[in-house]
Amino acid sequence: MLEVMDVTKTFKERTAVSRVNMYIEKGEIVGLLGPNGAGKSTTISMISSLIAPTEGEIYAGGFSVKKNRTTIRRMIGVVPQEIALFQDLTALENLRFFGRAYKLKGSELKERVAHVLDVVGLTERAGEFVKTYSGGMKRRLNIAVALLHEPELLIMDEPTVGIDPQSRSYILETVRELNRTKNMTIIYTSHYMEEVEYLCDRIYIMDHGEIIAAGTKHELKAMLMEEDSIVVTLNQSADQLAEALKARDDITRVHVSGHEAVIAAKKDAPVLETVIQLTRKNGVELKSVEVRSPSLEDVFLHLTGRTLRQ
Amino acid sequence: MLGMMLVKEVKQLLRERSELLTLLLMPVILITILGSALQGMTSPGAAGAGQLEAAVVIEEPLDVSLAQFQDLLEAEGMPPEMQETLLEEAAAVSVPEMFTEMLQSLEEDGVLEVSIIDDAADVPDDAAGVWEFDEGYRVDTWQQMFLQDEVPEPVIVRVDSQLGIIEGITGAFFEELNWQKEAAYLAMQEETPVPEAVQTEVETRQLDNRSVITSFDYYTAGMAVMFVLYTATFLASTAHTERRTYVFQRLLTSNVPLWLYVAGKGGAGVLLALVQLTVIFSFSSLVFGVSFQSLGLTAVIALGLALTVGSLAMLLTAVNYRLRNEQATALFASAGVTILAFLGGSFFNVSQLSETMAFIGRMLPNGAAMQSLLAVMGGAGAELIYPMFVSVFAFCILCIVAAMLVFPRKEDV
Ligand SMILES: Nc1ncnc2c1ncn2[C@@H]1O[C@H](COP(=O)(O)OP(=O)(O)OP(=O)(O)O)[C@@H](O)[C@H]1O
Ligand SMILES: [Mg+2]
Repeated sequence: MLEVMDVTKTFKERTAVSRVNMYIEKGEIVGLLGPNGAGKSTTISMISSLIAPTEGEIYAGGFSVKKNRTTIRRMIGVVPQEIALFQDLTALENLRFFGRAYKLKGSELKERVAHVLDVVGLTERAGEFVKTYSGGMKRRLNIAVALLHEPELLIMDEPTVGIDPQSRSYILETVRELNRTKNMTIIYTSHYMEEVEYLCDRIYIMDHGEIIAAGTKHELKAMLMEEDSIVVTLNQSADQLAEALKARDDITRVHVSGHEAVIAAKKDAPVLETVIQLTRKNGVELKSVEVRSPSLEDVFLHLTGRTLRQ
Repeated sequence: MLGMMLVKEVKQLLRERSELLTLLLMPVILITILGSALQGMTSPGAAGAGQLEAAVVIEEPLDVSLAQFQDLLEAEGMPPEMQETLLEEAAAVSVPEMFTEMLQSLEEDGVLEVSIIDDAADVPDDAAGVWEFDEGYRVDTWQQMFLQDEVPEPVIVRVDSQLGIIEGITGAFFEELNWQKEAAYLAMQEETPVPEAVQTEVETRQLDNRSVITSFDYYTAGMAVMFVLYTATFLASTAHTERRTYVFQRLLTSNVPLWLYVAGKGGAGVLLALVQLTVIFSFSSLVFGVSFQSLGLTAVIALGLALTVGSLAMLLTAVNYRLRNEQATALFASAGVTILAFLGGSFFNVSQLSETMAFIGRMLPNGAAMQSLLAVMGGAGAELIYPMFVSVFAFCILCIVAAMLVFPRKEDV
């Protein structure tokens, strides 16, 4: 369905995307994960033919994005990271306008508009101005517009950014439904691990313009199978404890944020004991300890030494 | 799709209160204020009058008048040598001849272009002023001067009163004339006592189907041509918002061609400007009784203006996209429009300042449209608005070509 081959994009001096390769099958939900500025939106703009790659080729459904722009654009639906809507028009007017842009007419237009409104659950509020919508409703309408022409490939750029958990899970369910009922291929961009972990069959992890890891969530987590992950919370800064832990051989990484420390240790290493000993010695109080199975967050930490939202 | 874009722009504008105020309420308020404040003053005058054409109609040749006067003197029983002196005297103080002489000296100064004709029917259509001396006028004046008969019928001066200059010339001449006649009369007094005062009256009439331009007419034209320009800046700023909020990118991904988007802005400019002009003109006509004389010609001028606005909207949109901000449009809205309006004569008749100013005003589409509107309000025919289309079309083509050059290629947006 989609092949991104060795694609690079350079803006003046800055390389935003560097030698990216992606391969997506029909009907897959693929996550594109990465921190701010990783190059996710730039990659998506290139796939949706809005900007031309400096180097490399992109094919969608067998068509070159460079040469068959019109065909490609008909095939894909893009949910931009920004709310790309007319604020002064109602939801219905927005949908009709973009529907016409997609060359829908008459009863077909009507049906499609009614359908996508239903999909995102905005039928009741369709007559209201977009500027009076809540953030979550705007996000949902932003998605609805991209669904009007029933795209084969839906590209969503952080569709849940800045909205409450309820709207978020509504959107996640919608995405799942679209994939299940219409066999729609979906690229889902986010820097929320949980979303990607929940939705996606396969995941590409981007950082500094490069794909640093790719695979199913199990494959990615398998990179951490040799490790245990322990989160401890202290009554004061965890820096001192981290220093002491890092000196030990069986501890692979320690990541500190405030009173919290995420410790990655070799499998079956006596980490808990060590932590208790060290805190006692330093007169620090231990508030909580949690041993957990590795998450994609840990994978990212493992790969970059940083958390995703750092 | 183009229709859809137009509908969308109209809807957006209707929902933008502050923009609506600028585009519709402001001109109406300014017409009211400026129109009322300057009501008493002499009409601001048609912009860019240039060289005036004037005509003097003298229905009767001088020798015919002299012969008639001689018959009259004969009938009075005047001795022949006295007749001769009087006739010589009369030929020297013939009002139409003196007047023509004065006009010809003005013509040498480049103020006027005068034609002297003997039939009122031959007056050129575009004459800005016509003086008519009827058959028998000379004899009447002579009779009054030399025989103290009845005061003659007033000389009829038909004046296009948009041009204060014609009235000025007339006034100056006849005042001078009355004074001269008074002097001549005093000089003659020693020989023949003549008791009654001499006077020549002037009856000013409007040129056929031309009407007075009131201050409300003037500012209706002036504010209309100025405020339509803000429609272009409004559209360009919505275009900028559409790029900034990625609506434009969304249109591209839905396969709306670039040219259609830009053409949509142009089309919306034409449409909105027409609506705006209709509102302003209707208001002036209903509230201040501004009369446009010819609806057809007014519509043609409005269309020309609307095309100007449309192409300007396209250019400003292109500039916004190229610069990736809307500072150029903001600058145009604040300074550019005011300068154009000033040069075009929206505030006062700058064309009276100098020939260069008049030329600049005529070259600007807003100035040209304003002059055409005033001309039509004054009752002029179609030929007076043709020149406007030269500057309007030149401006439109310039804007559209510039827009095409300036608009960034697909990859840069
Ligand atoms: N038009 C542009 N001109 C110059 N630099 C750009 C442009 N677009 C993006 N960049 C740069 O490219 C890099 C990648 O940006 P991009 O928007 O693709 O990141 P992202 O992964 O989508 O981030 P976020 O999660 O914040 O949306 C950034 O450093 C950004 O500053
Ligand atoms: Mg992004």
